[in-house]
Amino acid sequence: MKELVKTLVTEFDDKEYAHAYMEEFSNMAIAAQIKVLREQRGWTQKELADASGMKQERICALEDIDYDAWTIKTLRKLSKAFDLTVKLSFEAFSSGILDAVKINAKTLERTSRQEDLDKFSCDDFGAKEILWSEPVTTTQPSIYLVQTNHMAVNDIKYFEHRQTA
Amino acid sequence: MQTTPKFTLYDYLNKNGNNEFKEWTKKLQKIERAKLNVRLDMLSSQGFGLFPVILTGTPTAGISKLRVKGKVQLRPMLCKGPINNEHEFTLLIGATERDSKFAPRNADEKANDRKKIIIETPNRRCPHERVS
Repeated sequence: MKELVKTLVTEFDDKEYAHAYMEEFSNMAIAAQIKVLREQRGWTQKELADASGMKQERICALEDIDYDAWTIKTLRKLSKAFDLTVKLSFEAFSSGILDAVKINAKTLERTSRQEDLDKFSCDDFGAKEILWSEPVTTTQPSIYLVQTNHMAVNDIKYFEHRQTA
Repeated sequence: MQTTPKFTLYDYLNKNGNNEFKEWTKKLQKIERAKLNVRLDMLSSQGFGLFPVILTGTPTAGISKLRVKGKVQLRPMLCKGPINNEHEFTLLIGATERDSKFAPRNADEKANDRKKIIIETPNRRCPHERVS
């Protein structure tokens, strides 16, 4: 898949193309993730609809990869139903390219709050997950490269490091 | 962790050896090409697993259309295989859809004709040539 990464890096030299590609990918990915999360919990569309206060037809539409009218309000309703938090952030295109190349059902699954927090506590609050103990030198705020055990879409996550020294 | 493509994509070649699908793609607007390439990338890497409705059927059995939403509804037509049905898709014809009608007309039937040609003459296709 390195070839696809290289291809996308070259193609994304064109701003209009890059934005169109990532917008389409994002729409497909969020629709796919809703379906993956629902199935991970063994729910029907009706059960998700009930849990999120929406109609089953609406869930069906949201799971359609052609859907492109996302609102934060809708995503928050779903996140509450799944007992997850919505992470909204602006990302670099390199991060988007990696998301596109690595996407699969496993990378989209997420553990619900209680189970996740229990595991997080058992794992010493994520202390073992830090791969690089030294901040990366950058003109911007320092960052750590962290890999989670949960195979997130962005399984390479950048955390702002607050230097206390 | 990067995933290995599940499917290899091929393009139909006409009797002169020209890649008509590539020529069709070249005529698309840049944004349409970007959307088309996302769908093809996902089809290649995921098949139907993650995006079960990425392909939908046509009136012709064995011929599917890739749905690309936009100002113009792109409906490139393809088939599984037809040489190796487990690991390949072959793009047969570029098409659009408006009011439930394909352009070119009977694109699904033309795609099926091309599929038959490839089954008889496997060298009437080439690895998919991406246009960005």
